[in-house]
Amino acid sequence: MFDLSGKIAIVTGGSSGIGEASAYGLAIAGATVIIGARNTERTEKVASALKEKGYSCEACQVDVAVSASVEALIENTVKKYGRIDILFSNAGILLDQTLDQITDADWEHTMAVNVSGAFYCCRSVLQYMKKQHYGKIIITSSVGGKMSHPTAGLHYISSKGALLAFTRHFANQVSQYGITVNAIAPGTTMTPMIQHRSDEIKKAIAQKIPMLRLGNPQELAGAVVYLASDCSNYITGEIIDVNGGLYIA
Amino acid sequence: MDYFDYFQRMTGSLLKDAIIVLAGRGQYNSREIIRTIQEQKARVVYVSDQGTETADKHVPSFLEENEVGKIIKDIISEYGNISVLITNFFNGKIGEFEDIGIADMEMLWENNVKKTFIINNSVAPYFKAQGYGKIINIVSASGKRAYLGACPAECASAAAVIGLTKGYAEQLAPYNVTANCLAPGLIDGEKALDGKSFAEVQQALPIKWQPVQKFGSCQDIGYAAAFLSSYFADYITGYTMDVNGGFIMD
Repeated sequence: MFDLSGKIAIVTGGSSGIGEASAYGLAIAGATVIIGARNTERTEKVASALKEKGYSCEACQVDVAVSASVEALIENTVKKYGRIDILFSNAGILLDQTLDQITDADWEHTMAVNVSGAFYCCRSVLQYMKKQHYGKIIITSSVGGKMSHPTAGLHYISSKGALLAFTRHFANQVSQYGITVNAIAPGTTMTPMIQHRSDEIKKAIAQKIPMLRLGNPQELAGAVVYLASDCSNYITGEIIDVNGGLYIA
Repeated sequence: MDYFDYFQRMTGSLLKDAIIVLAGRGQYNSREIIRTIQEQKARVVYVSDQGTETADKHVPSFLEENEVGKIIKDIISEYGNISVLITNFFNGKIGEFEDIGIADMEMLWENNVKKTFIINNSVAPYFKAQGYGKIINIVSASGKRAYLGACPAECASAAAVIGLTKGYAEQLAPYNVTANCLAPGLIDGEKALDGKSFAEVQQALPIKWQPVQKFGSCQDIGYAAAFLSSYFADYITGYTMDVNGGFIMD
C-alpha cells in the first residue's frame, strides 16, 4: 500500500523528532531519502543507520531559512537522482518565549525558519515536479495552527497557522501539475521541542489530552508516508490532525 | 523506539492480524472498499442486512439493538476480538428543500444516523474493555457542505454522524480507542453522479471547480480506511478525513 520504491524524497529537519521518524518511514517504504538539516552530525547518524540496513539514504546540510541553501539542496538532489517525487517540509523551531519576552529577532527568526523555509522548499521543488507532472508535498504545521495552545509562543502559533493557509492555497495552485499538497498538524509530540521540559510539565500536558498521553514521532510519520504515497492521490489541501483528541472540531 | 520494527509493515501487510467489521451498504461500494482493505492482509467481516456471500454475516435489521448486539457478540466469539469497526450506511438524497418533507428527513436519519449509532454503541463497550479499537464512520462531504444538489436533510444526517463520531472520540480516548470519519466527495459509480462526466458534475460543486480534476474511487476510500485502521493512526481521533479531490478544504 505504501510502496515508495523508486521515489526520491527530501525531508527537512530530518535529524530528530518527526523528521527523523519520517525519514525512517519513507526509506523503509522504499524511497531514497535525502535528509536535510543544519546539524550534519545527527543527520549522518540517521543516514548511516538506514544505510547499514540496506536502505537508500543520505545526509545533507541545509538551512531552510536561507533560500540559496535550499536551492542548492534541491539542485544537487536533482543532479544526482534526476527527479524529486516527495518533499516533506518539516524543519521548524519552537522558541520558548512568553508574550512579553518575544523580541523582533525572535519573531523574524521563527517566521524565517517555519514559514519562509517551507516557501523556499516548495518553490524550489515546484519547477521539477511541474516537469514531472508529479509530486507529493507534505508540510508540518501544528495543532497550534488551529487552536490557541497554552504552552506555545505567539510567534510559533502564528507561523503554524500561516502554514495551514499556505498548504491549502498552494494545493489549489499546483493541482493542475499533478501535485498534491497536504499537511500534518501534530499535537504535543515527544520530540526535542518538548523532551527538555520537566516530567511534571509533560504529565500536566498529557492530562489535558483526551488520550492522556503525548504523541510519538512515529505516529506522525505514518501519516507522512500515507500522504507521500499514491494511495492519497485524491487528497489535497488536507490537514491531518494527529493530536490524541486535543483538538476536535 | 526501534523504527525498523515499527515500520516493517509498511509494504503489504499493514493490517495483518486485524479483525475488521465493515457494516452497511451505502452509496459507496462496500465490496470494493473491502477488497482494498483485504490487500493489507486484514480479515474483514462484512455485515449486511440484505443478502450475503459465504463469509458474510447477516443481521435481520441494523435498527434492532438486540440483533446488532448479537451479531457483534457472535463475531467476537468466532474471531476472538474485533480491532476495527467501519460503517458504510450513508445514502444521500438530491432535492430542493421545497420537495423534501418530514418523511425524507426521517428516512435519512434512520438509515444514516440511527444505524451508525446502534452498531457504534454495540461495539464501543468491547473496545473500551479490551483497551483498543478503532471506529471509522464513512459519511459524505455533504456533512461539511452541500454539493451536487444534496438536500438539507442529507447534510444534516451526514453532519450528525460526524458529530456522533466526535462524541465517541472524546469519551473513548482515555481507553485507547479512536473514532474518525471519512468524508468522500465525488466518487465514481455513485448514484448521484448519474453517468455524467467530470466536467459536467464539476459545475455542481460550490465553486464549480475541484483541484484534482477527476472522480475519486472506492479504492481511494479503501486506502483511507486502511490507513485509519492501522496502528499508524493510533494518535488520530475525532478527525474527519476528506477524500474529495480538494473541493472542500477546511
